[in-house]
Amino acid sequence: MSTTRTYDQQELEALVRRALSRRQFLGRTALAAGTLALGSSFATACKGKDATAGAGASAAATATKTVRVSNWPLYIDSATNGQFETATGIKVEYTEDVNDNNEFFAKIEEPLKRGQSIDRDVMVLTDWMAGRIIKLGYSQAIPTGPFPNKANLVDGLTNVGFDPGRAHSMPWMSGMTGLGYNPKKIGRELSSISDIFDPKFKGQVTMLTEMRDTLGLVMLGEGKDPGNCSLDDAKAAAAKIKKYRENGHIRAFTGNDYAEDLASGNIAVAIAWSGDIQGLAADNPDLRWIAPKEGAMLFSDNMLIPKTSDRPDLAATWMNYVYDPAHSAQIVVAAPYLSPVKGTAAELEKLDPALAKSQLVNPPEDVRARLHVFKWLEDAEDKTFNQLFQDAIGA
Amino acid sequence: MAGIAAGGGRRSRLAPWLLVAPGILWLLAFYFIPTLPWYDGYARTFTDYHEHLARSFGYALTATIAAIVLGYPLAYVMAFRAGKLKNLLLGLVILPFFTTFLVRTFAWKTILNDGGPVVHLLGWLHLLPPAGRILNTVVAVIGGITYNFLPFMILPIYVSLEKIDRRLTEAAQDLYCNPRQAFLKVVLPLSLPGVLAGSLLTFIPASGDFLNAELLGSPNQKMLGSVIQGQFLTVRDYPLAAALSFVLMTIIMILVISYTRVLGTEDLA
Amino acid sequence: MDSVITLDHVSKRFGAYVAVHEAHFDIQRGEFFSMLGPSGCGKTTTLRMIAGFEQPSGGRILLEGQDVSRVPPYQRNVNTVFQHYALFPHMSVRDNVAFGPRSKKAPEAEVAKRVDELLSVTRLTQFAARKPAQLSGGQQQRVALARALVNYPSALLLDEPLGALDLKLRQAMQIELKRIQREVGITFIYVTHDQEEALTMSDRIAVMNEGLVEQIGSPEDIYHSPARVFVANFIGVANLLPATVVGEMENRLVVSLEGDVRMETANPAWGAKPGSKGTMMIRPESLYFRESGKGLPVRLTAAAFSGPAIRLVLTTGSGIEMIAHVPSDGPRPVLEPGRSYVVSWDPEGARLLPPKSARSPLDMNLRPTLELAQQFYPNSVV
Repeated sequence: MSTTRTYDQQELEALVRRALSRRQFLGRTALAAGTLALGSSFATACKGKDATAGAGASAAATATKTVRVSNWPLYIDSATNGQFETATGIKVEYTEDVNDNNEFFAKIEEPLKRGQSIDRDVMVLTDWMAGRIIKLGYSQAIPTGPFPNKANLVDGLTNVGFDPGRAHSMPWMSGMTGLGYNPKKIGRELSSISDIFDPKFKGQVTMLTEMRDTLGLVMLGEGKDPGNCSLDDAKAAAAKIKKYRENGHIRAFTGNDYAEDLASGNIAVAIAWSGDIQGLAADNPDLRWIAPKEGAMLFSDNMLIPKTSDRPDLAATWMNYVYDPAHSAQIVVAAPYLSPVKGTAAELEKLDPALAKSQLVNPPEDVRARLHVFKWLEDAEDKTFNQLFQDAIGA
Repeated sequence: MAGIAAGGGRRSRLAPWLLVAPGILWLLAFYFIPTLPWYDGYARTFTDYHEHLARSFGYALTATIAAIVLGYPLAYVMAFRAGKLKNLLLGLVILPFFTTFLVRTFAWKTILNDGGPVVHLLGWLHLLPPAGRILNTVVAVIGGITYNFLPFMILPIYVSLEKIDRRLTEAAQDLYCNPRQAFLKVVLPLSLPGVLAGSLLTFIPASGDFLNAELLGSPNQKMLGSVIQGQFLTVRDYPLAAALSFVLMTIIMILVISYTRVLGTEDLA
Repeated sequence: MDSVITLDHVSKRFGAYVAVHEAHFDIQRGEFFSMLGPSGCGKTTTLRMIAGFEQPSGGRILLEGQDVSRVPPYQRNVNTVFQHYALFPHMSVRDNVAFGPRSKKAPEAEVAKRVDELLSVTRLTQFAARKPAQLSGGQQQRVALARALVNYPSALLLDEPLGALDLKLRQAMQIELKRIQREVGITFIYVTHDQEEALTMSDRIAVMNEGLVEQIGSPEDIYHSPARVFVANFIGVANLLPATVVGEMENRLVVSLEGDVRMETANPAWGAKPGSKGTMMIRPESLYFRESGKGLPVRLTAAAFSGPAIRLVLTTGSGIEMIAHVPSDGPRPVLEPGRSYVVSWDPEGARLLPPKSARSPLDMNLRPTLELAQQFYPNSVV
């Protein structure tokens, strides 16, 4: 009805996003400052609500018809949930309390281990964490009955290593990890991962603290496939990172606070998330994000139903709703990432033609072909890789 | 009668111990026992992480000294010279606490921006090389720590200065000390308990701090706190994280005890 | 006599408030000189100017003949015993006492010798290693004294040094102070609001009030020949009766009191003549108390036995209260409260004091500042 209004809202949300993005706000630091405390109170609050109490409790819960969702901040538009409530009569209790995979996991691990309710029916976590949760048996299968739109999942994501056949998880959004830079500032365009290590940029490079994103991209630069890498590949990549960290080439390892530094010109090149740059571009039209020619990392955040949820059908009904291409497009306008829902591009064309053309939301085929997903790491392997990476980044 | 009195006496002697018993048991069960040295994490603290350890204490020590150098004169002015401005100055010292630690530290990122006025000014004064920067350097980290803990230095020093009888300065001057000598021989020694308290309040949290290093430093300035955090949350090597914490705590305790011994607070009536 | 300290028309103002006005006197070598007055009278300010903690707003201070008005305290050879001693809490008794000589960079052997000497004079030798907090009030007092005297100052300034002690200790310390002063032979300038203390110890007393020196004299002078009503009232007990001079004969005056009762008195120095108004001052022990006869009629209100004397409270016809002391074991009238008696005195036992308004020409200048003075010193007698 009014594209102007939609655009304003998008702009506004983009501004907010810059301060408070869906990824780690303040990097891992916010986490340390307060989360452990929050986490323990969260766990305490969950105690005594034993989800295995029985069918009586379950029936009563269904009667209230409320679906409880945990998601990352600024990862949805403001209308979709209300429209869902009107359409289905199911209330949504939507909480933006996922700020960090590890942090969220620390909160839910204990109650789930003991089979206690965490008062959530849907939670959205990144691939590797989703895989860990499925592997630990902390999730339950997504009912297919109320979820006919499950068929709208894009082909590339239907079969992932950590969840064959997508029985337990459905992607919420995908994002790309590539390079962010300001061509005006550095005086040229970038195309390769090796540009990160250009001596000209000494002290003006940041990388992400997210192990899979940074290690994966560096591996791609070395000609290795992060989707099928060996420990030696990881060691080589880690050693390269460590070398450039120690000689002062890399200025910092960050959460999405690199965005501030990139916008203010403190840094020349950042390993950056596509959605962040889309958000920043509202204020800094010069900023650019590219998927380097060697490839870029693809990550997805996935919806899971905790094993102790007593209303999986309501959860699946909600998932079904957001898997409608029209609804998905509406969400993408507010959260410019890659939708995993088929047909979203066409719907987006109607809502926001400019955005629909952005490669950040709708990457062309050649970019899609270069996207890689980090391989699934078993628990012990995960620890080893993380230890390597922590050592490489100096922490 | 006697029996009742004796019983009462014993109860009152035991009472304090009974009151602290839960706390002591808690410490034994959750701090001491899990950290008994039957595990190689302790050795790794000194092999793999000796640089982080050295940075933690080096930065904390430098920041503590910087806080004394900055904080003592300010506390002195507030206690002796500020007159009506005293309460205003005290308020200004406490004011930063109204925002969180995190936001205050983030503010420094903006202030110390490569393109910001501070860097420009220092470059103009030739205190900084042409392409130099402050953000993501040791200077920013130590500066951030100093800034964040400065009030903990100022307030105890202020309190100990405020307690000093003004006539003692007069007495010293009456006994042939010029103002400088009077300060060195009377005011300074009497304010040492405040300096001691301030140093501990600064040094202890500063050596466990990692936020300033994370936000204002480069990866080559990470402190042991960062490692502990990473091990707890990312690598999930809880034993190693616990061992690192325990080593940090033990070293802090040893340093604190030797420091208080050397400064000998018990000598100051 | 040579003077150690000379105050040459010294004044001190704090803003509009006049703390000391034109103080002008000498203090002699070896003298025990007291400045006495209520709080706020300017005595402590005067002492602080001598010590160097305050600079005079007008006039000069001479120390051993040298103008030291602008010399900082650490370059003046006077030392102070502070009101609450101001001992250095972080130093032992010995280090406190050695503080002055060490500041003057005296050789350590010399310091030790002098400190030992003073510790012995003040009977503190056995406490040398203690900290001030481990000493009693009287011992701290003696440390403060030793710490000042060890410098052999030209004058020792004492600011209410016994104020913090209880009565018994005070009296003991009064004697002790006097002994020490005689032993070391140093000029003591002693500030107190306690008239008994001043009378007991001093060679001379300067009575101060509202920034003015009202009278300087020996304790006897001040007690028996007060120059003004304030002095008479402040030192001891004085009976004060409004009087008018009605006659003059040789060196005596005839004055008329209430009810036109006529009495004789010595002619005072302030130039009273027939027609002058003034105040008759008679000390309680100078009153003769009789059942009848020549004198001022009074009514007995109360009588209190106080050992050697009986203290009588009397009221004159116009309602003025008088105090009389009669020996408790001598002949005296039967005491019956409510009955009428008569009091009289020898001409030498009474003084005619100038009226209040004639107290001093400076009084007028000071008036506007008095309200201010009361803010600073609410207990002052204004």
